[in-house]
Amino acid sequence: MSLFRQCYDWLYTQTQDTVLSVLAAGPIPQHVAFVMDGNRRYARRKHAKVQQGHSDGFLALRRMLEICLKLGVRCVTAYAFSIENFKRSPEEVGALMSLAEEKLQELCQHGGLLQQHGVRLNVLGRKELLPERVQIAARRAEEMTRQNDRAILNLCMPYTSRDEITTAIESTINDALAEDRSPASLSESDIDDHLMTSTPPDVLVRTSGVKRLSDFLLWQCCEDTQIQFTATYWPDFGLLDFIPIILDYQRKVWSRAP
Amino acid sequence: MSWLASLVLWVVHLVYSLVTSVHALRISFAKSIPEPLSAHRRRVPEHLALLLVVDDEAVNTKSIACCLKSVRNAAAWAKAAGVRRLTVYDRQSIITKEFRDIQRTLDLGNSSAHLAGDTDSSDSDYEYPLTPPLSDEGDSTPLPGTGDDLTNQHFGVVTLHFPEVQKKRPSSVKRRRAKSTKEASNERSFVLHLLSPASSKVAITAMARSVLRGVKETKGQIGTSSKTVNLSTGDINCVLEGPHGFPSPDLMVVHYVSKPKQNPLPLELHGFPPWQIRLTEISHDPHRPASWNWSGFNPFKSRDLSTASELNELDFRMALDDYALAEMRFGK
Repeated sequence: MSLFRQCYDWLYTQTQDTVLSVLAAGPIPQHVAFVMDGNRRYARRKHAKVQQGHSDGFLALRRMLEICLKLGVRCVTAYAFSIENFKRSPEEVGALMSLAEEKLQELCQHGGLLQQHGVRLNVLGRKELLPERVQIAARRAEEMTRQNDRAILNLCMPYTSRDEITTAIESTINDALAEDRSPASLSESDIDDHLMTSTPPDVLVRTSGVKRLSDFLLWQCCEDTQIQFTATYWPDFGLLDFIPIILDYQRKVWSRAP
Repeated sequence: MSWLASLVLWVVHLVYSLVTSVHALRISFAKSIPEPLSAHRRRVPEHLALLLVVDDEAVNTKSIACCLKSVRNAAAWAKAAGVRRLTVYDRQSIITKEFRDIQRTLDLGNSSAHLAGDTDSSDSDYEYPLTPPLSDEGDSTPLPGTGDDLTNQHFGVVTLHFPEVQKKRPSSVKRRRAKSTKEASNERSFVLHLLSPASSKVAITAMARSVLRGVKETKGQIGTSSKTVNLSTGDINCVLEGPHGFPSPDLMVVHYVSKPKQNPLPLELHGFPPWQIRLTEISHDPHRPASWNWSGFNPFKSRDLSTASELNELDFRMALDDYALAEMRFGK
């Protein structure tokens, strides 16, 4: 069985790599954002604990991150935890914080996915709201991957877009005061420059069938981002769900070509 | 071997086009008839937004007429369904430029449009509910075309009020100028907001400029050498969703006035104001770009930009039905 399993895994990997090579022959989005929704409903459907849903959700994040990196996506932004999620039960929040601490360490270990693909990790949001142990894990992960320059993984936790926009406006105004700039000189690009994420996503994917942005990347996604709502729960999301999303993006790029 | 990968990708796209076209046809045959406008629904949006998508190259007499017709239809249907507020946005500023036409021609039963800030018009031509009086928002609403001048905290939002006019009482009919700043709380009133890109990121930037201007003026007056600003989301919300702005919609309906470029068509927001759509439910089926007949879709033929489509009542009712079924968790 072990040999059979190894053969199966090898064949699966080869097939996946072939599919990705075909997709990569066309235009690939440079920045993909994910709202990783549906972990709890996935767990309920499997009659498992909510924590199992979140663990499987992390596996889905790893899986999709690897797929994106092999495709040539340069930046992946994932909505890991909303400021609003602190309203959940203390037990669930505690479990999520423990999972975050564990997985931040796992992601950045030597030989891990991020080091293998040269990915720099950024933890974006109101980090001061996180437990101290998670803040330490986040800081360590960011420091360990700071020199990586092939791609970026933004983990938004805890984050809301309105909070990001408010902070950007506040910083813009305070920098303008410090530099003694005239009010008329302020522009949208000044606010862009003060946001936590530097480039707008080409594609945003929200899983679990919900058709809302839920306070995620509102400023960045309101222009030309393709927003894809899919009914698949996040822990189940994989390459088969991602292929039509890439195909849609490619058709958009080709339809705009001169 | 890249030529082989490109060839295979071309075949994949061909198969994808066929599969999605068949899927779109199946959807069009299988869809159920949505509930009537006035049907009882588990929940009805208090505030509905309509995003009108017009191709940059397709702004012409026909598309403008379709936009205006869509606004009139949407307002009538929204009111019939129990929606109290409608916001309409288009990227080309078509509806804000034509707001006078909308004000003049929009018929919502026995009420007439009152433009927020329009103090000189027609106070003598309309009866107002005795209490509470209509709001007078002064110069808070800019005229289209001056959307770039945001020095007075104009956010490019044109607001039309449609108060329900009470029946005449022989001895108590009064005609007077509204003075209160509170909006009429008449349960049967209707509010229409017309937006353009001036109401979007431009408005947020204008607000930032206003805050900076205010701080600099305060510094000048009291002679302090340094001052920093602390803002909260509540501060920003008070301004953007306040009397000079518009509140967050519960539901957004996306309608393609111009024929879309591809099928399926993923959602894009075309510059819709970002602040207010934090929790907005978005009604958009990529396999069913509303009102367009895909049986004639020919990917090898260039799009006919002279055709335009107005909002369809069935799609509007379907959006209301979908909204009634959506679940809100607010982070919990």
